[in-house]
Amino acid sequence: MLRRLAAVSLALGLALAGATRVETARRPRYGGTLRVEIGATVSSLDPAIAAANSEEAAAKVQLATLIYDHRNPDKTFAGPGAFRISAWEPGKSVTLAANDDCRGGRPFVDSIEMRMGRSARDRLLDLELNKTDFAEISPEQARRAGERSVRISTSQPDELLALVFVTGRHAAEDVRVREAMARAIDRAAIVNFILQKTGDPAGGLLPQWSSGTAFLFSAAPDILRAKELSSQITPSPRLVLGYDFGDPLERSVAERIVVNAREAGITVTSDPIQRSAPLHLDAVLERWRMESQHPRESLANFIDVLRTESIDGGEACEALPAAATPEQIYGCERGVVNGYRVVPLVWLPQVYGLSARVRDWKAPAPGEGWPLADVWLDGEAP
Amino acid sequence: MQSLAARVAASTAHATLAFDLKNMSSLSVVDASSIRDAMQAELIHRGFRIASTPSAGTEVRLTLSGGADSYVWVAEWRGRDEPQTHTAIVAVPKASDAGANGTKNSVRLESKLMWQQPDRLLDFAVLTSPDNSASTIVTLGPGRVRWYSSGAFQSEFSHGFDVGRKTPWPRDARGIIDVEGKKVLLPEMECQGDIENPTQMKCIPSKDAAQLDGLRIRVSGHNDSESALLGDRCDGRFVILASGNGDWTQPDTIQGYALTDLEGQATVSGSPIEFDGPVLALYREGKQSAARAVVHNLKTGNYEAYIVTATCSR
Repeated sequence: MLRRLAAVSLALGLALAGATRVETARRPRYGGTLRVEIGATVSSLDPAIAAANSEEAAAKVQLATLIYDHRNPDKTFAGPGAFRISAWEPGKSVTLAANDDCRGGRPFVDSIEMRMGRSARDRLLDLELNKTDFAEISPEQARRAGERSVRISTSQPDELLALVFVTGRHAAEDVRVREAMARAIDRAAIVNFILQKTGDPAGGLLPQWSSGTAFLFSAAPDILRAKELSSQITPSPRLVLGYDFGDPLERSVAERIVVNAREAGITVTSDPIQRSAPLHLDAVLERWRMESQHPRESLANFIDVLRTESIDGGEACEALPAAATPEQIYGCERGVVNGYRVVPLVWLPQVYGLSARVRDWKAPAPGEGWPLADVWLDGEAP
Repeated sequence: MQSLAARVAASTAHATLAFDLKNMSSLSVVDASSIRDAMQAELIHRGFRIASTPSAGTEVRLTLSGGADSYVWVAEWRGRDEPQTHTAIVAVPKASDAGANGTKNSVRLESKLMWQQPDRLLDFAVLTSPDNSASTIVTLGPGRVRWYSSGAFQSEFSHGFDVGRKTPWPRDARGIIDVEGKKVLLPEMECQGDIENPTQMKCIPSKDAAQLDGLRIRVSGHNDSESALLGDRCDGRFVILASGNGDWTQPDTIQGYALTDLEGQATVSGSPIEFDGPVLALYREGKQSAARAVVHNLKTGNYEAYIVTATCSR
């Protein structure tokens, strides 16, 4: 029966391949070298050696997801993955070769050549000049990259940029100061002008696409209420806001917050953090990346971050059950947000630039690594 | 719905409600309208009067939203003199919304979700007992064949075996369950025996790759698509189903085509049905005018098994 059908179908194939044939490559092909550029400089792949910064830590995780099979519950990696390291120059480059014995099947590309320490500007330029196939792009550069004909892939917004007040700092212990700050910040302006509309204003700790209840949190500024609150406090509040020295986005957002706070009668000075956070900071800008698309898991992870950093505010979530309902998740979020220890600002997507020959790339969901084993290359090598 | 209405009723003193519905979800206007009617009926059943003006005693808004795990329906209500808004939230499971449509004298397609799983799915079979009282789903993954008995509310694993191979299965492996031919085909492997009697199946190496690759039917403009020639005809014409042209990162469709004779040109017939991910495999289902479709749902990450039925709309 099957053989008979096969014969019929082959005949049909010849008969139907008409003059209007449109050749589209839908099925994957094997072969080729994928050229990747990243901003981080990974000096060691040894998990025991701590990364110098969050960028290197994130890059180490991405590399680990390519060379290991899976991640254990304790977050260690195990088992041979889709690729193995064939060349390694610490801090500069790594070459990965396809593992023919990969449990999930051999990757489509033969190898990956990854260059490290490439600046955002260089990555963008190399994408434009077709000198690379895959590179991360900063969200604030996404629009400009698109205008320069770079092929863009954008994930769901899964990274929260938040203002976090340091527990124990006298200047921020008065909840009215924190609430005034939360109400003074114009999040839409951050999204529209700094992020060039790549991102969403954040009012809650989870994005709308994950929780379905983000619309219940207002992200609109209320400068009148902010002024009213700050006017109740004498002497006038003065805060020091820290941000990552190497992050241009955080610098721009911090400068914007300084302006918004001044309108509400609060004096904020911004202070770049080069290594560990200095002791004089009252608040810091932090980026929290979701580790799961599921709202309960992501929220629990964010609460763990608060605990790890000894930041108050997570008390409302202590009774969050493993199978929490949307209403329980919302209650936890509401409790944290109403404490004004954590002030959600914007949701950022992950943005990737791709060359024209990259096929079957799908922006990873939160908690997933780059699915480069599933990517294949269409057309001739450059 | 009932729980939301009960929550509203429990904390509302006014007998008159102003009701408003906002649809932020992927539910259709028709579905949203049905939900509005049902919610209003629930409230009326609890003794409330629904007024059209916002000057009513209590304003109630039902927002149909959606998250990663489910639909989320949010009721917000506030009495005329109350300072605070009450909120109640319920999760509503997402059902498959792959729908049906069709026009006169055309191929009308309907899809029915039969199975879904997080692991890769290459093909599936639905075995029905002679009296149609019970059914079994057979799933084929890379190196895995599993049997599940369908119960009233859920399916239970009943049998399974792994197909060994010296090298790992290809990342783009294909596979076919051929119930009539009494065999399961995988790359370089073939398992023979009665599919309904799994304990007697035996797997041996096979070099006949054409059995997997040669089954494709090509439609002009869809040369790399998944496709299947169905058994029945529509208005005397052959019926072919074919997937779209996108790659495996995009939602996909299955479109019906009609063909007067095997030497002619296939033409589009009827409306396509849409899926939330690529159609990875499409095989004719037995002698019927139906096909088996395996879809990778990009929203849920699950691999889904559909029976797509084509009827001739007259």
